[in-house]
Amino acid sequence: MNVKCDIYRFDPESGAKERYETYLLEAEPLETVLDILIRIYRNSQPSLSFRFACGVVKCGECAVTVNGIPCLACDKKIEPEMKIDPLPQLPVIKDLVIDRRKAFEQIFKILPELARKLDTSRRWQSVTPETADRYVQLTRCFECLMCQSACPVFGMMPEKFAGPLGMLWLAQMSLDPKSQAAVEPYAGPALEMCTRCGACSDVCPCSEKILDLAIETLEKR
Amino acid sequence: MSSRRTFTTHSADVVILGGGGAAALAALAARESGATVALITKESSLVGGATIMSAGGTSAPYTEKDSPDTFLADILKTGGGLNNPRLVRIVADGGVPAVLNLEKYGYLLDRKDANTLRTIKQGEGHAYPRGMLDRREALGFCHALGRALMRNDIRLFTEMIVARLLVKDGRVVGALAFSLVTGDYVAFSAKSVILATGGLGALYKLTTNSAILTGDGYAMAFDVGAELIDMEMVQFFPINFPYPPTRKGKMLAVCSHFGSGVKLYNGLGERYMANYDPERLEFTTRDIAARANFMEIKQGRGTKNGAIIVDPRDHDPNILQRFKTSVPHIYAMFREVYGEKVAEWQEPFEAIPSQHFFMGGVRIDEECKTTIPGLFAVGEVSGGMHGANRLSGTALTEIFVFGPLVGKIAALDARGGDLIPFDRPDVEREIDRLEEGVAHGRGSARPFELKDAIQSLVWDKLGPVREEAEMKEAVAQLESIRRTASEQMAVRDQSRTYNRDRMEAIEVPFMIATALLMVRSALLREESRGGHYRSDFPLQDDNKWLRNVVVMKGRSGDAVVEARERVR
Repeated sequence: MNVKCDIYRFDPESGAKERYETYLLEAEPLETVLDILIRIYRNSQPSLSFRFACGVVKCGECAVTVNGIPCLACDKKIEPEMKIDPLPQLPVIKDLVIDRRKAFEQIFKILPELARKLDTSRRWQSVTPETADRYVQLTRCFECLMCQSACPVFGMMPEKFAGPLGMLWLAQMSLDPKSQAAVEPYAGPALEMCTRCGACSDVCPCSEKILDLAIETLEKR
Repeated sequence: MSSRRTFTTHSADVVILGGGGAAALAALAARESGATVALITKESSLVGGATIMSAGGTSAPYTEKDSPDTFLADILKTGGGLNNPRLVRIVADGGVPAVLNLEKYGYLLDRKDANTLRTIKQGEGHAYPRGMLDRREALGFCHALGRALMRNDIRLFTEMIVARLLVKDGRVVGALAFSLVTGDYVAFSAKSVILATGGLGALYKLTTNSAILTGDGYAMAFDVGAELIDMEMVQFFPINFPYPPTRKGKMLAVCSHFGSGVKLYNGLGERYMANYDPERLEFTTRDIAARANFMEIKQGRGTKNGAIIVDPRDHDPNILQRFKTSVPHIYAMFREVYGEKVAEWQEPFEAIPSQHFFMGGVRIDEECKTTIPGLFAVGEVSGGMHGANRLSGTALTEIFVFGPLVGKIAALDARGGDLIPFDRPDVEREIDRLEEGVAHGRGSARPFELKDAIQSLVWDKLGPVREEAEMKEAVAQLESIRRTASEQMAVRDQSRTYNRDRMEAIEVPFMIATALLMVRSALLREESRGGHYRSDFPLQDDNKWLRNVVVMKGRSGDAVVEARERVR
């Protein structure tokens, strides 16, 4: 099938204005956006910058926006017309590459207690099977950052709100006896800032609704 | 140009190369022991590497009837007698505590009840059920370890590739790295350097590994004179996705995942396993199944998509249920690629064999020390633990045990030693060489083209089935690609920010060097054992070959291969 891609280009080094470049190519219906990006990088545009690693919807590195919707490039099947952008609301390094490190460090900045040393004083801290089950669910996250980029509250106040990923970390850590104490000062304020709009959940690539579960876990703590 | 030779410097007691589980655990343990630590990884995510690609299954003697001795015996049996038993002893004894110890980094294990871990089925080669599959397929502890790294004051350098280890007076004293993000060079100074750079799957056209695993560590270690061992021992996985391109070669299953009723067919509709394992048929070991699948396809009996066919229709519904719940992530991809009917095991599907793990590597002792002072190695980049073939679930056990161990020892070593500064001219020369190689834009070969060529020939000639003439041809082809690389490789775009070509240009020579070490070792071993199968020497020869193949740099700079008596 014929595919038309308009890809966002931005190179701070060159000083050029941000723009879109158009590529036309032939592709098979089962191909992914990542397959196309790699083909363009190889055959047409060596300067195109984008991330990928595992290729199996696990490491979260290849997250981009296609036709306005965040997705994992190695997961998303191609469409005949695609506008490809970096994830919104996160700092862009170049083209489709966002600053993931800054995004993670930001959460630690807003929730500094999470960086506190864990309480490992009690050698073996058992949890109930239900807690273990919930923890397993919540830790299926790929850390792709799509939720952060979709959250309207995070978009408005990135300096104050740790975002859906921050809330997910809080929820995970609230189940672990070693880190419960660190979570407590933040849970209430985070729950207040979250409007429960579900935009994060809508884009989350996990098969389970882990962001909804995160909110529920924090509410019930 | 003077601007080409600038670099920033960074010192730490312990510098760790790699971004997978072994690197992270080593970093955390070194930090705990009071060392200053810097970690350099090619990826942006922590923890990544091969660890995040795993199904998360960790084998250890958790259950009552089991014991470290039995576990040790199983590992040695699978390893075909080539394991270093001292390394195996450490893993067998340390496995269970090491897994339980993960919790201290901010993580909860998947428990059946308060005191019992969820253990799944018996794996092939295990005397008892040992595979702790934690239902998150490695995602849980990877991210917990990543956060632990951020929490513990470890300097993290992401999307940075180490181009060379720095040596002074026969000792490794640091590393020169190139930042993919900025295009700048950073020279690291260290008292102890730990190689945790993972395996070499990306040398193969078909691999379950991510593209990042280009075997850099093996080449770097060889370059500074370290010994490498068992470089011919590669593990292949039998059933993997054949399409689409980003999924091709990625891990799906072994036959036993589908239960005892599974059948394999070639493109002609023939059930072929009787030709490879008449006793066990499809219920054979994964290496025999991978070899069989490879041969059927290579000899022209594959489907029109170059695959074999797996027929899971004769199955126990409980086994399908277990497949869905124990590897939910793989299952989701399975459903996506093949559709509903195949997802419910109602229809056969196509699959291909793929490279999976590398048993060989940089030779280490029980303290993870290599043969070069100042240099340690841990995880898949190290060699000796698995011998000729890896027992399932032990790769994670290996890093959970040796990761913390090497971190502690490297930190202790650093405490006792002085920081020896590297020679600035060495670094400047190396930067010039790297820049000269790619910066001019002349030349016709982009790095990915050379990578493609390497990956094709390595799959064909260093795959599940090897043969002398083909391997000698592989040597010639690799030498030819090496010449092309030095004369023709060029980076088309000159920007410095996030220019992937530049990183790939550093990876290409590593891939060539590592592949040459593999093929020279494979040529020497004239027998078949474990992951190394030769069609011209198909039998195991304990009289001549119950020895390890060791390779290192000779005086002329070329590889010197020899057979060496085993460690007892």
